[in-house]
Amino acid sequence: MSTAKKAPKKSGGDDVRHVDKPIIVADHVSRWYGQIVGVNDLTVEIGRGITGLLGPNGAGKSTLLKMMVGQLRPSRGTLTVRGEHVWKSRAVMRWIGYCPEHESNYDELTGLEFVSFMTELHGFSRQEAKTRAAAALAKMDLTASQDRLIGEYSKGMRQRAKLAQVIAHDPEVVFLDEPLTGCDPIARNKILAVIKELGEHACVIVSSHVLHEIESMTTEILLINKGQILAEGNVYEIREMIDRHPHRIRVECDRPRDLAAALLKKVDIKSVGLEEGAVIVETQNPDACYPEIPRVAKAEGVKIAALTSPDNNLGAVFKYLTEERSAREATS
Amino acid sequence: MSEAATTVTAPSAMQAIGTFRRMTWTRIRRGRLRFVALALLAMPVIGTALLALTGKWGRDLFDNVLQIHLRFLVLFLPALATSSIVGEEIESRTFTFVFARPSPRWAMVIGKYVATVVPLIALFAISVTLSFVIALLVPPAGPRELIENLPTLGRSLAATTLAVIVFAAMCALIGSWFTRHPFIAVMGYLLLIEGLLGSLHIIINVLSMSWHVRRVAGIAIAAGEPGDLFAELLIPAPVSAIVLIIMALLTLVLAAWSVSGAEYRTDR
Repeated sequence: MSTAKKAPKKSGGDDVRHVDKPIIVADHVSRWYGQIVGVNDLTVEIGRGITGLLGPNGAGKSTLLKMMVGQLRPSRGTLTVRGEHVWKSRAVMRWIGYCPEHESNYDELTGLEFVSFMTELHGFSRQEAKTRAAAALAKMDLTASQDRLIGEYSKGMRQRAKLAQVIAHDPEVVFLDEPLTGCDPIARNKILAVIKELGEHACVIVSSHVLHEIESMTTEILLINKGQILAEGNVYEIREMIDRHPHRIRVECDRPRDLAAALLKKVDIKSVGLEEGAVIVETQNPDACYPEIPRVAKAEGVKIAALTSPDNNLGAVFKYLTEERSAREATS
Repeated sequence: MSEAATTVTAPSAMQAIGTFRRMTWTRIRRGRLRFVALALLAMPVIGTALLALTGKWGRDLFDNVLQIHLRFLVLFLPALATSSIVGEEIESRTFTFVFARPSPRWAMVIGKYVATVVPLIALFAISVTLSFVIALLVPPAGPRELIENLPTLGRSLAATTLAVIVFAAMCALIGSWFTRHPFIAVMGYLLLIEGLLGSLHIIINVLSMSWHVRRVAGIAIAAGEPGDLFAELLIPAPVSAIVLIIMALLTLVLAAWSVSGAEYRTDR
């Protein structure tokens, strides 16, 4: 996605924008688990750089990733990596690195053995694999623990070991399923740094249901819910497209009730709400509203402590798009 | 494109098998299976020694002890070791690591099978040989009797080796079909087909591999015993050996094939 600007999708259908050099192409991909839909008619193109796959639990993120790494077969549609169909393709497996979501691992192996064996399975000689494994573990700050059994690792160390097996063979397409789950701050910072570095030369897909995790890695996102892409592109581009939804401004002040009454009379706002110590303003015209609020407050003698826009947060974007989609579906 | 991805080719099947073999062996060395195998295979040796102390000796003693190997251990230990070759990867979800590699999936089955079967064969050989030596060296038996019965030892070693090879392959196959409870599925087969059917004194016992194993060892049901409906059809030991080898190859190939095209889920 980072190779070309793209607009948000309004649905999971034919309005997909094309990237210049797509590496991953999903064309009307669906996947069912019996009667349950995991991924529903999803079409998307992804290029180099980091792309965040964001959605709540059960949205279809892991199903999509598993199809992209060839561990699940699409029920319908085609999914290619560098033009090769993924399912049963050993060629595609050469290019990819996959960090699954689960914590399970080969607890009887040391960190070095685990990463070495995984790298050998990519075709490297025993010695070369060991050298690469040691380097990957060093990159994840696990050199001191590389000869300890994985069963003795903490959650954060296990996550870092999982990431080490991803980077050891230098893949060009990387899939990371909830890579920051259960990490302590040190592991988190290390993993974030490595992901950002990977994004400079590889195509990296990172899934998460935690908004600020994705925000800390990339602004390029795919919002997914109920197996469909809600939106794709830059967070701010997406925000611009949500013109039907009012912009929210949170005004923390000493007399919220008085400020709310004054704002309703003078400013181009759609509605106001009250929270403890704050007024929540909804407006269709944020450009006019932002300078007007402090003026009104000053005129009323209200002291403003903070003025923030939760709309700049991915959480707001996701909420808006989900609501918008639900409303559209209800209407149709 | 990164340099590695363009210059390194996918591993050959032999390389992948070798990696899985070493990986599995490393895990076995640190797991509990080795203690269980050692303890169970020490049982007949200790049993032989204890029986020798009570006055039993010679070929009869060895034949009785060999029944422990052939009727129980060659079934139980391979079941314990190989029934979960596939299932443990699925249940622990570690297959997600190894199946996202350019190695052929079936190499995992073969590599893990080899890593498990070779040490088992060696342990069985040690257990059978020690039991034989104790039984044949206890007075009034001695070195002469031991040497005279070396062909018996040879047949017994061949039988246990073939038994481990075939039962490990069959357990791997059944385990690859029933990945959630592989050991229970395998024990069901062993008790019903190998235990019950294999011990029947009627011709359908030839359908069980354990009967062929006992034929190779030279202790199969003798012709003319009550219930032996087609005694004249008793199969020669070399034919039984060939049956065991073919069955092992067939089931191993099937186990490997069943993994190659399978789709495993992690959300169950």
